[in-house]
Amino acid sequence: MSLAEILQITWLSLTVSGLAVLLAFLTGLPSAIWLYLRDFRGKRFIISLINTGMGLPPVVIGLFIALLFWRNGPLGFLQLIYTPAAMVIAQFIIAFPVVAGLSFVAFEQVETELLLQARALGASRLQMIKILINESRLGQLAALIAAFGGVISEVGAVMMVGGNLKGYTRVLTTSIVQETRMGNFSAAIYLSLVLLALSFTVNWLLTSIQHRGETKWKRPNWK
Amino acid sequence: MEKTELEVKGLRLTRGSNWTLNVPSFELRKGECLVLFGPNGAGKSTFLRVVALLEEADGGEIYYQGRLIKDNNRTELGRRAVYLLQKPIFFKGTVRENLLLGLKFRRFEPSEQLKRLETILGLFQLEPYLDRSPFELSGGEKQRVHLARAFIIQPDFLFLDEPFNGLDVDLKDVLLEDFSRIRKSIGTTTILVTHNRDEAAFLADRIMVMIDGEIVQAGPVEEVFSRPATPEVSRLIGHETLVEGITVGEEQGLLKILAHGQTILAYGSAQAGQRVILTFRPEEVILTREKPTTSVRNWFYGPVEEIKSFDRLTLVSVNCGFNLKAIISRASLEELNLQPGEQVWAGIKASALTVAAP
Amino acid sequence: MGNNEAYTRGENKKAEQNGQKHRRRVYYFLILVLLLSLVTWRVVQKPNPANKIETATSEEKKAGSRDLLVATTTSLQDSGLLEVLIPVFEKSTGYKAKVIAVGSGETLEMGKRQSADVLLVHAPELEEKFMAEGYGEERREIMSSDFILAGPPADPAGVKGKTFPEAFRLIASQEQPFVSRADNSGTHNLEKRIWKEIGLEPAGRWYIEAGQGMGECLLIASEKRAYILSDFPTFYKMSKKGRLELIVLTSDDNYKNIYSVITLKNRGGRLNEAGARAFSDFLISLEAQQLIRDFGREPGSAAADQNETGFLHLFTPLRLNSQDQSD
Repeated sequence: MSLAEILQITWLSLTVSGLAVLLAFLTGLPSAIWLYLRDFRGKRFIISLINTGMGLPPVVIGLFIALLFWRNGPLGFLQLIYTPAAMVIAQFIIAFPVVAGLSFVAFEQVETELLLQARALGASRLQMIKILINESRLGQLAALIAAFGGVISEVGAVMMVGGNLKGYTRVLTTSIVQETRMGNFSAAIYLSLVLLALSFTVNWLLTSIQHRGETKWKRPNWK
Repeated sequence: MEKTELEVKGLRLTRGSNWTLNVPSFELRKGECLVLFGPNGAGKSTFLRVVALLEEADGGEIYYQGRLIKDNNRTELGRRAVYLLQKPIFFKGTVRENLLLGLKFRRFEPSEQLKRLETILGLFQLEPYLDRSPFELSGGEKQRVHLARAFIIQPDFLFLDEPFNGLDVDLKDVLLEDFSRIRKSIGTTTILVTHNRDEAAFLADRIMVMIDGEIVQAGPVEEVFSRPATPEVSRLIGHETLVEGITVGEEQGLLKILAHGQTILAYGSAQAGQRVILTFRPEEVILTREKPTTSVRNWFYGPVEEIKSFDRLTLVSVNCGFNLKAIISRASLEELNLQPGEQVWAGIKASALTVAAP
Repeated sequence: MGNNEAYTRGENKKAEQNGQKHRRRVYYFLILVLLLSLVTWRVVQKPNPANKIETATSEEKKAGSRDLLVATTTSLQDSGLLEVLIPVFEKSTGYKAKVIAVGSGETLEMGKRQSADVLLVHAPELEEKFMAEGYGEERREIMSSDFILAGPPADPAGVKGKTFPEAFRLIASQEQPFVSRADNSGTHNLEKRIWKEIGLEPAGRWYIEAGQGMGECLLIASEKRAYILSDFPTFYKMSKKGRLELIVLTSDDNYKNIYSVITLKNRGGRLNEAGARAFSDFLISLEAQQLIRDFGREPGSAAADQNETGFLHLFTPLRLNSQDQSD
């Protein structure tokens, strides 16, 4: 396996998962806000649905996406099966409930009176939402970290809808599976380390953002 | 003529099955400080949130400076008011950011923000805490920041829900005085909820007593304090003194009660040997330096423990074996020239005493 | 102003603390990498047949001796043949066979590592290398199946009825899409052999390297309207499900999928040698060979498809006529 190939695979892993998480964030956060601010019948049902979605095995999602996008499937005309786009869609569906669900939990942990106080100080609706997001920033980033960690290390769905096609839809996880199957354990472990390093770097960045501006870790000092 | 700043007509809000907030009419003059007084669960906070436009009533009209509140001007007019929750809740960031938040919501120019910040820092002496997190501050400091972030907006209306609750006494006295001074200097029309009589007496231009969602009495402090409209108000307002004793007999149609080694005469009926509780209201107590020979039957003697002065009234605590409380006018206080630790006679008519079984 | 300075100092201190925290994190990460590298080194070290691995005691060997670990390929497992053979084997010998299905390459690696007792594979070249390197005790060919070249029904490259080398040349010259297993499996090795025979090195957008199992690759070929080299049993099984838009275009008797059972050289005494031998013996027994021959011949199945596909058996037993030569 050439270095160029490894770089290409790593880059694809990063872009596919990054894009999926970005999309999940852009849709999941507003969904969570909507869910948090509105009261309606069936709200609990939707929350349970999202929580179930968080635990859905990627292969199951991969299977459903594949069934949709196969040529004779209902969305086959889009010709997306075995393309990076299909992988982004599959990972988006994995990441969305994680982002929406954990964001919702993060909102719930913000004191309800805080929004009332913001309103009472003259905040408009949009300003209240800004406050809500800012106050739950730690939780939002935890949601992003969980979502990214989930999809970057996921193999079932990308294998099914991406096909592990060399130079096109092959990502770190699928090539690890393949190298393992072929008995190339050293290559598999090397790729695992690359995946680990990638995942660590991204999480490190997110964690740094997460704790930026926090005065201290809010826990007792053990020294 | 003082202008009507806030007006409420036919306000109704039903919560649950047996509780209704019902305020047929209510007015507040410019610059006035109204203290909303009442027991817990009387609907004071709800009323406050409704007039602060944070909750919608089932029916009724609210006018801010003559303008009827409607859905389309709710946010705009709402910004003329600031409501502070009882608990000082802060947002992420420094004290500075918390103070400026209300101005940011209203999109004030940065230069104006700075100007106001400086003014408010001076008034509340918050300079040293500016770049700290409000979460690190002490209770009293937090409360100052809490109040300061309302005053910095210089709102037309200020609605406060028990802002001095849970503070220790020394701190509270200082803060009460600061608050009163700053409020007067800015001239903010204020409604303040409390169930603390001292606060009410100190701050209020007018007192409004709310019980079970209805206004039962409203008027100047002296009036409400000295002439409670109903027994409920009286129980709520009065600094009642409680004395426990034992009935020992009767004398000229009066009950003879032994309490703290003294004999007290009161109207009532009780068997001899029965334990009773005597209560009387502080404004019924007469204080003198020398025991006079009047028709007053009960006299107690003891040292003055505490003197608390409000705008026009003074609350005096006397230790006569039990803690006796008296309210006298400022004028009488000056006449008596009382100091803590000095001995004083406290008289109370037999007719002013209430006898009850414990 | 003094206030501001204090603030700045505070900031610096905070930045310093952050820096320390980050440095600590980097240390943790380096330690992690180090640990993993050590593991890697242990695993990657080529097991030397001469190396004696002394881990298991004879007691352990005895205790586990009824369990037999069979490593085989996913495609063979997917065919369903083992589900017919294994119960009969277990009943007649009393062994409990556990089948681990992995890729061909991994199967042989498991053999080298002695992580399995016996191997059931179909990659003759790799197997011969495996035997030559001294890892195997004995290799017996037990059955074969046909390879087929499948493709879109329209057959744009016109390979119908051609030999494999001819067909491959046609596909490559027209750059028609072709899905390669690209996973070092038996089928992939055969494919590579054919490309080598016609002196071509396939590359380009038309040459799709999937790196997955046979079933997945058939699906990909179907979706991409591509040609694909497949073993017949898997193709048959997949097409029965009705999802494939592929048809068999040609097969070539010069290229057969040969399945072998390989018993291993017992180094370190960890292997269930007796069980492995029993399994190997069973597979060439008359009973097993008949089962292999009859597999998939139930009414309405392979036999019924004979006219359409031209195949009678999914698997052809290789030892049915040599039962008297006992091994």
